[in-house]
Amino acid sequence: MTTPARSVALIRRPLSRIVLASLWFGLLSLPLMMESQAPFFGLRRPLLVSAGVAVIGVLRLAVSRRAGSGAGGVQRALGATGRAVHHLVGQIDRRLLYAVGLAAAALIPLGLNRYHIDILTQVGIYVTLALGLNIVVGLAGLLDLGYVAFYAVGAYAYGLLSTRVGLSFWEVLPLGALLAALFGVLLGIPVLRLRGDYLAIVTLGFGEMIRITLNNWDSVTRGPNGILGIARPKILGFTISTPIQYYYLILALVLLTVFVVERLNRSRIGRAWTAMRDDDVAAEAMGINLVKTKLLAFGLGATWAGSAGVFFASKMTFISPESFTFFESVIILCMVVLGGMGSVPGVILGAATLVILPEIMRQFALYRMLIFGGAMVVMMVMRPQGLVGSPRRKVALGPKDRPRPTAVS
Amino acid sequence: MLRLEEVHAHYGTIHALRGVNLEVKEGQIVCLIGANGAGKSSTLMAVSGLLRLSAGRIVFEGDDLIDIPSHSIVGRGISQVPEGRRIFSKLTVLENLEMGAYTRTDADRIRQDLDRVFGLFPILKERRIQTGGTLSGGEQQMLAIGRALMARPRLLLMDEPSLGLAPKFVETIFEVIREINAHGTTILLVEQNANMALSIATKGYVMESGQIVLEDDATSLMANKDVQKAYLGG
Ligand SMILES: Nc1ncnc2c1ncn2[C@@H]1O[C@H](COP(=O)(O)OP(=O)(O)O)[C@@H](O)[C@H]1O
Ligand SMILES: [Mg+2]
Repeated sequence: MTTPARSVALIRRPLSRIVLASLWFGLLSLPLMMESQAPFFGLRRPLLVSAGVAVIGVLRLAVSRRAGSGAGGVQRALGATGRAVHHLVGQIDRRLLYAVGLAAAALIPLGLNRYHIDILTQVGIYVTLALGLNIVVGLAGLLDLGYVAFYAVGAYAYGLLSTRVGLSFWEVLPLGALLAALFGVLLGIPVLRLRGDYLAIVTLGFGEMIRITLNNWDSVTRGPNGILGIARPKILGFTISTPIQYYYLILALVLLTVFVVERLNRSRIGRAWTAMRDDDVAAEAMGINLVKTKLLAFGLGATWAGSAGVFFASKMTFISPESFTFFESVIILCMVVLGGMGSVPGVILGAATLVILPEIMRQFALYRMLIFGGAMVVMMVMRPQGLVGSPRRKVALGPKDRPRPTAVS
Repeated sequence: MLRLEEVHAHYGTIHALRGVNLEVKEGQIVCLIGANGAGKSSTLMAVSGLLRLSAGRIVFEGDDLIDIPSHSIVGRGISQVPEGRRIFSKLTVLENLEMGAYTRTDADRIRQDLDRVFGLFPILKERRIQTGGTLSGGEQQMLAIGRALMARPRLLLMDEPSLGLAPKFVETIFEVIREINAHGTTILLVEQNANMALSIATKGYVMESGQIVLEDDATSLMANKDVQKAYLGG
């Protein structure tokens, strides 16, 4: 059945992937060399990490080979769990799911302390960000690694317009969103023809460009010192200042985001994004204007980052370029991917997980990013469609499950 | 209805179309045959505006298509069933069909056309909430045809619709092609299955290395010794 050449190719690809993964993780753990109190020092730790990753990779390969057709036991178990979760989510009426979620979100903070409420507010900010990025990555399939730039645009829009011009939160909220959308389109224009890796690299560069500009344009942004004394939001003369008040404010923003994104998802333009992501040539043949559709995705995605940025600035009352590093873009992207690209409940779950889990793991501070990265890789290998998966796959995951072309390795 | 005049097109340095001349008259089924790599798909892609011309003209109903952006071609009344189907695997069958009518706004007639497609392919109605990626090859081909019909085209381009299908499906597909044509849609059909294609066609063109080397009535082409040897298996 399998010719020698074919079986060589079958083995060589996973092997080279293991080597790459092991080198990559070794590289990622290089910063750990600096940590002197840690049990290992010098190059030993990165090498150990490399070796560990390689061993895991080979083990996985061996297991999947024995199980045949690339489906290991763990993977099957995870797949089954995912299907069950998905089935449950699919069974429950969307409205009911949201109603229960909203009730829980509205009541939960009543029993929590300020610290925990602040974490929930963080969740809210990241849900807004991740839902926005989900438009670009999950729906339109455009890999954007510079998304944090739009968050920065929103935050600095409020920071500057509040301290210099004296505009209020409610005036800047739509302005910041609009400005971010404009930046989204501006980024979109030069990258229209790029795909995949190239798109990722250029958007990454764009994100860094914005951060570096903020860092160096002292006369306007006050550089690394940041902007202090940003006004808190007011509602009818009442100033929002306590954690719980901020929590309810972000909850309102999240609600708006979920509502709009769900509508978009089901709209004509939502279908056009999915079609474009599936096959852009066929999409163009259907009469979809790819330029317009892509720019719309960049713009509508950036809008939410902009409004999240305005909220963030009003909450912290202080912003500096430090909050808008490449790492933030990566985290937001992880939330989208982890939860299940394209699925709104999935992305919410992904954002909540990635904000709350690191908080729980605080005592492993040194290792948590490593664990985090490892978990993401395992996740991608085992369950590339994310925790919940996209609603578009509902039927694909049903009882009459056929082998899908997206099968792993 | 459609006329290609000295059409040239490149993929990078590959000169895929080298002066193609071809004409399709209203109401006809015109069949384009030729070996793999002859440039048949490229010809259709050029008509759909998805492959840029380096020289020549494509005229449809008196208008030059060159200046029209590719996403506006379908609005002019030309749709395509592309090679390899290229259905949207993550959209449902129904959504795929709706994508076919993407540029249309006449909701009532879209509904009629949907019913017509479901009439042609009852299996698609059964599977309408299933995602495209979960269909069998034959069903995907039906979906691709249905999707193209949802544009209510006056000219339908079909690229190897019978490729890789079980004989039972091939028969169905050819019957449907005839039926679509009988309803007034002009068809430009690319086929490897030259025998069946020529048997339903009005006219045929033979393509070799980016050029048309032969054109004639379908019946005369079928009787042509060279064509028989090269494309009809004897
Ligand atoms: N996307 C592409 N990129 C580069 N070359 C291509 C591409 N598509 C087709 N070609 C080349 O153009 C020529 C014509 O191909 P095609 O139109 O697909 O032929 P046919 O449909 O008759 O088999 C071939 O030499 C093929 O290799
Ligand atoms: Mg072809």
